[in-house]
Amino acid sequence: MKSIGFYAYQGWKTLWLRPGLSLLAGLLLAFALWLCAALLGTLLLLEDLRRDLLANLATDIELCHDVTDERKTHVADLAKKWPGVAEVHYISPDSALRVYSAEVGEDLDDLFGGNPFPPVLRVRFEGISHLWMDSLAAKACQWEGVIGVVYPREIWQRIDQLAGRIRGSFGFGALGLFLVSLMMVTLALRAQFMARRKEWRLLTLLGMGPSGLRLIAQVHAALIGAVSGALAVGGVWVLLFLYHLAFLEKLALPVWFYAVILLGGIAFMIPIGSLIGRAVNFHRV
Amino acid sequence: MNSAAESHPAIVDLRGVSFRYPQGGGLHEIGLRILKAELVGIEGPTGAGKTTLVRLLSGVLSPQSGHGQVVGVFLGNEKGASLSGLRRQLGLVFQEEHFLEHETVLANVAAPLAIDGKPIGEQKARAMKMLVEVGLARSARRRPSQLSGGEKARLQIARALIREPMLLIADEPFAHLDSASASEIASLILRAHQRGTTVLVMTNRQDSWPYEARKLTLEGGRLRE
Repeated sequence: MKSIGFYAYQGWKTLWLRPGLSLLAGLLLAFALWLCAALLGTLLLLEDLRRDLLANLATDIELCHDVTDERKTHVADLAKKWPGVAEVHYISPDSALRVYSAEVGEDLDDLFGGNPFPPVLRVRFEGISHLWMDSLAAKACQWEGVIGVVYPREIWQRIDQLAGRIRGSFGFGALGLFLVSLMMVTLALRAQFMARRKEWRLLTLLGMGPSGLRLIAQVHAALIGAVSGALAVGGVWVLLFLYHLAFLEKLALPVWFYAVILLGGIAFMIPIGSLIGRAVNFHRV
Repeated sequence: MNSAAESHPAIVDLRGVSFRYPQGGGLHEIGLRILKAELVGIEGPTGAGKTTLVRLLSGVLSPQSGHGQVVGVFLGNEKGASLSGLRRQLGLVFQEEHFLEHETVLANVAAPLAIDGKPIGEQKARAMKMLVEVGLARSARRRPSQLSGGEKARLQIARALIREPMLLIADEPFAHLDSASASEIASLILRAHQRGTTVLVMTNRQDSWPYEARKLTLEGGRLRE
């Protein structure tokens, strides 16, 4: 592998011998990566939004009026064991009535002839689906001392459905487009590689092994992947900037997201280069 | 012959090697033994099978029958790695012009050393020395397409000799050259032989090969002394 520099140089050289094909392959792959990045970015942002919303949504476990402190603590302990629970805290009927009266201005004591609020354990979650919540709520209703579980099922359900739709139909569409683009990129790279077939034949006659040929094709493909990855990252950045201009709100994606797009371009292209290099056998006629 | 064989091991040893193309033509039961440091000339008309023999010796084609070895590598069963190993021990001068067209003359000569993974400094120094030897030093920065026919032939010789190969195989190195250029190329090949390189030259013009050599004739795919 001492000759890796020479093979890398030949891969670099191949990139420039038919610049039109390089440009075509680079732009196609950049588009495919950008599409995936946009989809992944949307899902990430949606997940953030979902987490924020869910953190502000509360699930109330309503307890019997005559619940004992021991029972209350036991139910709270059971609730804390649920997956995704961020916080469980007790709201007494008196404090609920106080807050309600302060906010609404009605005296419910007069209206109902007593405090209508039950003792409540308020549970906050981070990242849990509404389906899971349904099953937890059904279980909690059977606990001793619990009279019901109240949670904003519809909002929860809508957020989950939206994320599912983006992952599902949009995801499959993007994956299909990505695969078609990848196929066209492969064809463009192969045409570019084969344009130097006489030189590859000469190099194999001079003693270059099949691994050398593969390495040249891999370097060639990886370079296209790196440039495309950078273009795709630029495209995502432009998209976020346009969003900022339009809605005056800054969206931020994690650094690893950009790294995945950039390295993803290279990672996708190396096996393709390997396939191209393997498909061409000049070693023997 | 026996005493010579003992002191000089065979670089090429073909026994009953045949190869036929589907459309006809090829080689029939070739027996060829070339000893170390020998100078052998094979003469034959166009279509006699000279290029086919070069392809067999360089592992591009595999014998369909018979067996043989070149520089210690058995022909026919060798895998990719040993084929590369075989070719790294050969210096090949092709009948057609085969160059890295987008590289300089210097880079073309240095290509075998680059494949071997030699440091760039060593590649350049040795390639330049070789270019000086074949009289192409002034053309080092030019492209092969900018060279004349004679210069291209000298470039091929320089590239073939840069590794100091065990066996130099030249397939019609004088074709398309005027007599002065042909004479220059013959001198370069002879000089390599005088330095101890085993040489096999294929030619269809016996008169372009005026030096002392073991001469063989290839006709209709059959080789005879």
